[in-house]
Amino acid sequence: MTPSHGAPFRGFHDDEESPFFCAAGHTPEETWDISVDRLAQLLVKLGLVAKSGAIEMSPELLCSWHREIFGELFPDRAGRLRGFRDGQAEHVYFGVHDRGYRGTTPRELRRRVGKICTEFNTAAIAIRDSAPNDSIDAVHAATRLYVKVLRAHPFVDGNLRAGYVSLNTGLLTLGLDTVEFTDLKLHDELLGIAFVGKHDPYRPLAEHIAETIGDTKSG
Amino acid sequence: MSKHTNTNGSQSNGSQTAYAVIDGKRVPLDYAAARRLALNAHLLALGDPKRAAQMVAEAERAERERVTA
Repeated sequence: MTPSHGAPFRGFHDDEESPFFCAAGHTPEETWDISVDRLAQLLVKLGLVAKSGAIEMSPELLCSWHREIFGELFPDRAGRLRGFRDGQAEHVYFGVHDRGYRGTTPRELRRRVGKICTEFNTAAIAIRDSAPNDSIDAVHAATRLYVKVLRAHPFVDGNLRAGYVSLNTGLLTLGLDTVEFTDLKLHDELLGIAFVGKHDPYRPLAEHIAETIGDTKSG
Repeated sequence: MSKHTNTNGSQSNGSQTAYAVIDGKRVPLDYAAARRLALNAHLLALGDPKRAAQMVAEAERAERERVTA
């Protein structure tokens, strides 16, 4: 798939069965456009917040981002961790790099996301307190946050978009730049390694992000 | 956003502008740059539907096998 950054909507690639494929009263294109706009506004706001002080990750903050992106479109599901509906656990299944995964079970989800956030916050404090700052440590911490949020899959849908915010907020709050992934296939491959690899599986994705940040030219 | 808590109040970056890396260039994180990032997030999320469906089917089959084992 070729990235189409900045181009008009040219086709929706989501599965029609996806919960967030099309919001009531909107076309798929409108659904896409609204969530893109809300996510963009959120990133701008987070850039300003990060410059005014450190951002502490929490399940509530993650939920608030998800609500900001999807609340207008899917008010009953946005900003809510998966749980139990009509007595049934809301399990989610997803695929990355030719493997299938199931998100953290709803019974464990809040505790798991809380642990992921605490791990990042602890690492962030240590990184800020160290001098001079080592940017690869900071990128690694943000990458680990991103991967673990995605692996937990806290929401019924929209997890990658919420996770993307967590990655870029992690980078921002550690004094780094936000990044995009121009090679979508490589992103998925490195994410797949991070999900299943042994011995610091986050390192390849973290190094790719660090290279992206490090290879910048003046805009 | 509902909650932003200062952990130690310090930022290593003295600039008051947040930046984004877009197409290898460092640009201020304004709405245009953020929209590029938002599109990127959507493309990552909504990639190949056939592959995604296949992955889900495989995961569900593995789960059924695990339950019945």
